[in-house]
Amino acid sequence: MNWSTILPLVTKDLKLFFRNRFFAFITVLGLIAYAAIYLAMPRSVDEMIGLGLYTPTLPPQFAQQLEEEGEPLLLAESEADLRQAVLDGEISGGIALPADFFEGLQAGERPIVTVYLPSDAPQDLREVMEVLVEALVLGLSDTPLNIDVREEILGPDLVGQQIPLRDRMLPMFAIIALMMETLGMASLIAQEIQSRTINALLVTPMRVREVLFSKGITSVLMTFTQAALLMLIIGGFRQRPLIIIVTLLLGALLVTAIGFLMGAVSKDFLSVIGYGIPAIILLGIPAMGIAFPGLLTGWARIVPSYYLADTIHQVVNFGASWSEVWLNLLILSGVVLLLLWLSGFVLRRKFR
Amino acid sequence: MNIKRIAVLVSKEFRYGSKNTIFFFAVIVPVALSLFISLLVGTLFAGRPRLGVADLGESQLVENLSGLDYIVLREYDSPGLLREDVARGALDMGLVLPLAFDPELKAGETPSLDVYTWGESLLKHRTTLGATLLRETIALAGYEALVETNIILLGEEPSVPWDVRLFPLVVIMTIVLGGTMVPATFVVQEKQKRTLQALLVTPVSMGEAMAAKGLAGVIISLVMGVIILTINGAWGGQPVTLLILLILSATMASAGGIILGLLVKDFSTLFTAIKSIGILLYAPAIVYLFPEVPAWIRRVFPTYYMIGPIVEVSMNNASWGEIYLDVIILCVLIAIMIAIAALVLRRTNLADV
Repeated sequence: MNWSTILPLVTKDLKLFFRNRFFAFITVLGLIAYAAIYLAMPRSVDEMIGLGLYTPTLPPQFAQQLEEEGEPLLLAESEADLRQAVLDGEISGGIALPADFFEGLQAGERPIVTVYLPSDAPQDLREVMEVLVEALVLGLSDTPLNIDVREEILGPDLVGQQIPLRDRMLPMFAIIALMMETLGMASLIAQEIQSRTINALLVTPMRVREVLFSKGITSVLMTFTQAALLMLIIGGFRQRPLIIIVTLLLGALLVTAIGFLMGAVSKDFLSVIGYGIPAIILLGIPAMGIAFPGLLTGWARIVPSYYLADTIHQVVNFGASWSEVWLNLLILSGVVLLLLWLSGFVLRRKFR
Repeated sequence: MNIKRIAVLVSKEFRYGSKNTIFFFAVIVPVALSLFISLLVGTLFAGRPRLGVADLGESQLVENLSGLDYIVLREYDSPGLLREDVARGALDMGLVLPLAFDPELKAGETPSLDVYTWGESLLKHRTTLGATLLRETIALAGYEALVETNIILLGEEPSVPWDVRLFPLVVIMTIVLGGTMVPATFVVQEKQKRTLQALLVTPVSMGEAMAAKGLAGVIISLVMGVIILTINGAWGGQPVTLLILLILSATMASAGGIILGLLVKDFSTLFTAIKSIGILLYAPAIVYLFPEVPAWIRRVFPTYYMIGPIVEVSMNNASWGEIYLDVIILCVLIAIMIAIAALVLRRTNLADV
């Protein structure tokens, strides 16, 4: 490997990129836009229904039962206060018990409980509130119900410490940042093959391996830098940054190999887009599965980016260590090596 | 401008341009997106708690639960599969009903229930499902509800379901993909292949060539708009008004596409530009996702006027009186865009590109 020929080629490609001010400016703008989307998304998860209660005579069991369920309860001084709390958005719904609630209940009557909801409350919440009130009153009554419930929590119990959607989407942001510049590299290779400028290069003392290596370095530098910068802005390095750096580097190599393959089979930029968009969608699928849990089943593991997305998710959102993600990284490395070899093989044949 | 020449050029654009990848995307993406959103609204964005039940007998509870709109119920043949789905987050809660659950419950015995809860499930979903199971089980045991609930709605903000919030995004993607991307791609393709030079040897003027590309974009955008409104059942009671609005919006998008195509030199730059300004193009549709954001914010973006009147008419059955101001602004924007396109065309010597 002759570094004295590789480095000038890398420098030339990078200069070509940054000489185009529009291209450079727009790339930065893209990064800012993705970071802005992340920062604009809610930083916490609203996992409570948020209830308020007004009762002229406070039944202690009522409040206690709700709080046992984990729902914080706002106790209003008056029905007007309860209504105002709903209107101000302090609570999602307010339950107002009538003055003779307990007497009526004991007399076997069906007291009327008023539930205040904001007018934009979806139909689902209206029904949920009805069920909650009925279930709570049933809990207070002497209605016998003997059921032996064996409950099992599957996975880490995240009540009170839910992962916000924007953090679940971190792997998706990383994959988008990694993939976007790959289209440019694939297009460059396709153009070089079509216009035969690669052949001109090979007239010089450069060998195919060195041309590929220099293109690879340029692509990895561009993709890794962008992804790392984006992750830095959106807090992707807050846990175990070394693992994230290694993962992004492997991701940059993965998309570079895919970019090379796309460049080899494409005729022009349009066909790069034709192959590139499905590739981005495919690589983005595992990240979608992380953002929206339950969307995917085990088949998502056959997509190589699963190991990239899952590693970022495990590390950033659960603080996973090397010992927990080593298998992901090993599989990712294996896939990267295989794809790099394959893309090198295909491109070598193209260059001949 | 010679209408006949433009018509010939438009048919040429469709004949050759339909092999273009972007043309394909302009047709496929809006339809796929519409279907995808229907799927999401039915599951993910519905925000409903998801309950799975593996009934080893024939419990009435399953039938009672299936009639509830505020939960998503999925039935399983095997408790193992149910547990797997809870563990991967496909369900908030899983319930295994034993063989003789109903008879034991009704006889006052103590049936056992296995309940699996996904650790990442939201507390409100757990509360809702817990309360629902309690109420339905007690009802099954033969007890009646002890209270009546009177629901009173406060305020004037209407509830906006997710399919309505996402509709503007589908509309703008349809209009932009067909109206902006397709003409821009046609122009750049001609620039890169230098076929415009050949075209100018004929009596066709550059203005006619651009008008044909723009018209092709308008037609694709319009056809796809009609398909999307049909798929979403969003024609409302004013189909003619919606058709007129679609034509105007497609024209503005198309003028933007021609300007973009004239300004950029190759596909690489075109797609980088789209990638980056995409967020601004789609900004009003993104604002629609959050009804709590003040409506004036979406009006700041010019692309609002492409979708705002359409959304108002199809979703809220707005009359001309309610949208005329937005339509006037849309017409002014179209005039400005066409003037800019003409100016850029005059300053760009495409024959030398």
